[in-house]
Amino acid sequence: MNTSQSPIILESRDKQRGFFSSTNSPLEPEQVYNFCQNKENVEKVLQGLPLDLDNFLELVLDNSKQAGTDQYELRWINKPQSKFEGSLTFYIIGAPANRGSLVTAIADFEKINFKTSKPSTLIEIFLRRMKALMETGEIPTTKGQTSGRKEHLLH
Amino acid sequence: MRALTWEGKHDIALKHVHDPTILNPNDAIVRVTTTAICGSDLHLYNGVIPTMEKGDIMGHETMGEVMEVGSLVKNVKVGDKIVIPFDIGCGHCHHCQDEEFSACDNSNPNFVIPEKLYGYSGAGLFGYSHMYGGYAGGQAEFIRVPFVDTNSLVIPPGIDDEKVLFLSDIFPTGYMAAENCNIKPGDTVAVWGAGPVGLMAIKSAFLLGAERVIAIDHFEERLKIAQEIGAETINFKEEDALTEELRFLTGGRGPDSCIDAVGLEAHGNTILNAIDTVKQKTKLGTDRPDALRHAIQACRKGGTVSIPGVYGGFLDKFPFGAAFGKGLTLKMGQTHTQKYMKPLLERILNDEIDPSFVISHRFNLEDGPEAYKNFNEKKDEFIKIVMKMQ
Ligand SMILES: NC(=O)c1ccc[n+]([C@@H]2O[C@H](COP(=O)([O-])OP(=O)(O)OC[C@H]3O[C@@H](n4cnc5c(N)ncnc54)[C@H](O)[C@@H]3O)[C@@H](O)[C@H]2O)c1
Ligand SMILES: [Zn+2]
Ligand SMILES: [Zn+2]
Repeated sequence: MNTSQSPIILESRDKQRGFFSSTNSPLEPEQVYNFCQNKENVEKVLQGLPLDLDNFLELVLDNSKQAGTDQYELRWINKPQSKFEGSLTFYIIGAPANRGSLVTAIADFEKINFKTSKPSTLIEIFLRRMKALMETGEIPTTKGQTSGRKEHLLH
Repeated sequence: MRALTWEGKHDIALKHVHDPTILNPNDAIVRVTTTAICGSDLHLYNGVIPTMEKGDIMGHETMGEVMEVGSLVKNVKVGDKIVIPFDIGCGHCHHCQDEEFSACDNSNPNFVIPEKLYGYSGAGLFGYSHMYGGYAGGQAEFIRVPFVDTNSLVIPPGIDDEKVLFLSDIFPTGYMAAENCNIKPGDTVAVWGAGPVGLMAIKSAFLLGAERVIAIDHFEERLKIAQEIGAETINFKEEDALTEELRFLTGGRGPDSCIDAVGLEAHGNTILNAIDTVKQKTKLGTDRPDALRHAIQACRKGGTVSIPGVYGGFLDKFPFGAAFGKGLTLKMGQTHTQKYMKPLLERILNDEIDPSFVISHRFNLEDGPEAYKNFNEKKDEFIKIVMKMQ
């Protein structure tokens, strides 16, 4: 496919608050688009991330397929009554050389509590969790597994 | 349940902990029947692999009976007897689809750490540090197996555990190491390390058509087993000109391929190894690659050096010029176990090989801490330890 009209223009993001990352999936752009459109999926991916979720979980669909291309753009924004303004935009294109799709996410927030992680790392984790859920039906985790640490000892 | 846990360098404990539970829809819970200690576990025991945490459950060579499966599991049923590969594949990503399971994109939730170190992250592994996902291991009475449809080989009834347990790791590892040598009829393969992986590599090299295999180690008991399975042997402690000796043994040409089944904790009385040892102890260096240096030096022009031995960081005095000058092919990596389990089970069922020949000791799980100590300190006697659950 022709990727020369890629909508991903990273230069235009506000360096102060736009955090981006890309990932590849063997799925076709349309499949990725359908996945990202589903609010339940996006919420699942966000759960468990060290984000201040109270201000973020209420999202509405903003934008959809770029007509006449196999490039997709999707944006989730905080509901108007949210305390903080913010958005999460996905750009989905066919990856070169039939490598499925290339998905880029840009998170743009007025103010958000990123707790422990660096914002760019957080978006990377977000995308990888999304990729895993999309490809396998689950998000790999060890949270809640047993161990020999105090909280899991029987006696 | 009871489980063996890592509590620090040279400190393995037996603890009573909560049983594992299903956390994801592709999980299974398996009651472990037999598990083994791997040479790779010793790297954790000796504290040379970073990102272990106190209380981590050890073990990645495991088999048992499926007790419970998650809602998306399709092929594995409660009651099945399965062998569990040490590397965790998701079965769906690009790499899993290409049978590169230990390069799985999705199974390592802590991918950020290896990605920073290595550019891209490998798969999650059972019981092998948080950098590799922090998954609880199988030296325990029960284990949670993610993506169980991909990470299992169902064993037909009536087969002794010991015959098939090593399909979880060392047999596929030795086999992939030999396969990576691209062996042609008449070839001579030299194998550094006559531990369980080296011994499996020797067997596999013969299965793949090698004419001769030369095993190099310094433990006589291990070299004796190598001899029993058809290899010629060299004790490197008694040989100060290893490359010369190998040249002599191979008619002046050098081995066609060399397998490093030693990894980052090589022994040896060379000056470079003494420097590596000091650097590793003082954390100024990461790996002791002396066997690998020798393998590169001894290999014939245009030959292959295959490296199943584990490395983690930056290798000092690595003879890259020799590798380049001789046009060597280097192949390495964590084994794509799932790719080999089924065809190698066939070889076992056809009586071409019985991998249990490497077992030297059988313990109960309670004796695990002692077993680790012995395996680490008395390699001549303790070659491969399996632990049975009662
Ligand atoms: N690639 C993989 O997926 C994979 C899987 C399993 C094990 N491994 C690795 O394979 C290696 C071997 O595993 P193992 O279970 O056989 O371990 P092991 O510790 O039992 O055996 C290693 C052997 O190497 C010998 N040795 C040490 N220094 C040597 C030298 N300079 N020259 C020749 N021999 C030397 C030791 O005496 C010992 O017999 C380890 O590094 C282990 O982590 C890799
Ligand atoms: Zn192993
Ligand atoms: Zn995968």
